[in-house]
Amino acid sequence: MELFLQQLLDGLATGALYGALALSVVLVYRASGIVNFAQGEMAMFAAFLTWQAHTWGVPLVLAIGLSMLIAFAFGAGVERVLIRPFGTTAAAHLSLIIVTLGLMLVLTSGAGWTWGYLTKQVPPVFGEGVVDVGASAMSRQALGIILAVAVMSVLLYFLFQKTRLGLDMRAAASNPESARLSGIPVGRMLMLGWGLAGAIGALVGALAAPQLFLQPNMMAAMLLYAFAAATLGGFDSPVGALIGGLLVGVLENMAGTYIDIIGNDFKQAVALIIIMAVLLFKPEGLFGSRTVARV
Amino acid sequence: MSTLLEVQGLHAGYGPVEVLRDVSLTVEQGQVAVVLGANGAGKTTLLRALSGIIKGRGRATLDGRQLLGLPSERIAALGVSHVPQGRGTFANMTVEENLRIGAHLSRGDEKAEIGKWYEIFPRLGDRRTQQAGSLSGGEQQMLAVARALMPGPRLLLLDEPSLGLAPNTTRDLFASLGRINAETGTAMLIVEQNAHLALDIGSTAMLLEAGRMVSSGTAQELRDNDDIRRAYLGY
Ligand SMILES: Nc1ncnc2c1ncn2[C@@H]1O[C@H](COP(=O)(O)OP(=O)(O)OP(=O)(O)O)[C@@H](O)[C@H]1O
Ligand SMILES: [Mg+2]
Repeated sequence: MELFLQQLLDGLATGALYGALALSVVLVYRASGIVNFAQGEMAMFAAFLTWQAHTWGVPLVLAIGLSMLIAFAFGAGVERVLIRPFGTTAAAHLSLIIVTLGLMLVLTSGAGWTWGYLTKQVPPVFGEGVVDVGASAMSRQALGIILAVAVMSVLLYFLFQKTRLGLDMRAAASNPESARLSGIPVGRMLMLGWGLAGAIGALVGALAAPQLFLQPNMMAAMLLYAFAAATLGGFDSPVGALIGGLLVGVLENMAGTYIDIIGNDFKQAVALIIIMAVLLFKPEGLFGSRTVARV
Repeated sequence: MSTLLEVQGLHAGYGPVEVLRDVSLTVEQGQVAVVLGANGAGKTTLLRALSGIIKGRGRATLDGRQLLGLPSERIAALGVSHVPQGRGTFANMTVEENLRIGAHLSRGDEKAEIGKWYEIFPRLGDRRTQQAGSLSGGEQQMLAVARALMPGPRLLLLDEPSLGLAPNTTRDLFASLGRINAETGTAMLIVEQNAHLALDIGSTAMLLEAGRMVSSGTAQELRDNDDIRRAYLGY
């Protein structure tokens, strides 16, 4: 029981990160109808920026804030410069996916060229040590991750549900043509969606770096889990992405602990199995709308 | 009366396919104008060109300002509201959210504005938290019209508002449109297959055939035209 509880808590902490990264994938998907395969690498690059600023003496929290701002601008710029010229028709999707794959390679080699491929130690944002949670214990970092993702989710919920801007963003995602006819500058809303996705990714990168060790391929596996989370939650549902992330995190951890042949080595197979099972049996995911086209 | 919308020599189409050829028309301030035409004549294309969804060549001016070439959101900001064919509501958002989106360009008190539309269309008020996609066809059309009128536009472009509606729902809708026009003075350009009802509230009308404007005049003149009577009024 204690082991179970411990695994559950650990699973929730990694799951919160999967969920947050899945959320950024979903925001882009809702805005532009495509999966951004470079989302993980954008987060990795931002994590390097955080690390760089920190080694230059900027306090860690401030460094994260700065890299989130830069990642926001970068995400918005990617939409404007690399994505929009192709249009949003279904015919453009293949080109766009290839563009994001290209961006992924550029970011990986860019980070490698700038900072090298050796892993870097990143201090945990929330410090060392553990906190007791009932009969189990949790590292301060794990608890901090859960709280940080929770705060971010609440802020985003507030943005999307309670503000004019959020309403306009949802309108632009829901029906771009009608949104334009209502006077909403849809292009700017798309940039904003990509920017938010970038900023969320930067937060994920900074929170994940201490555990994953900072190096150019740091986020590759996590992006797969994020896809699993987004698929499970429903690709067009932000709430689904977060809940999907928590579920995937817990499932992955439990499977690694309780199913012998999976162990630590085959954990990534869990993500693939989840993606396959959802797409076969409930393609719209837990919270998605039925009309979402498959990627 | 002064001219609100003036279209001269408008050409528009899709890629290499030219659909509208040399179309000219005018809509006076506060007036309701009706566009008749067979399926595929280019009626929807005309409205789409005017609201900037597709590109057009020629001139289309609102109060003397050229609309062609502007992006849709700028044309909307100038006071042109377009209810597209098939309604164009935000299906996965609630009735109330749809109306709030419609208020994007309005400067007035959003709550009061929305309340006003719930009075005009009480069925919408009863369903304010329901998703627009789950409304009946008639309710969706009411929502689309209300959303388009939220900002208090100068010109309303309506594309086949009666599509898929029961005859008495259509009659109610046109009665509402007539009242709204009389009360607010919003000019309307209405594309409609139900020529009877449209000509009743319209003061001018025109006939589009294969992308060309083949006749235009007062609603009464078009009613009296034998060809039009046979083709669109059915007697
Ligand atoms: N997106 C498009 N791409 C290419 N051609 C199109 C497109 N939309 C319409 N057309 C063509 O333009 C012509 C006019 O279409 P339009 O939709 O304007 O007709 P309409 O008068 O509104 O007809 P209806 O009464 O059936 O709505 C048709 O021949 C149609 O095939
Ligand atoms: Mg049409």
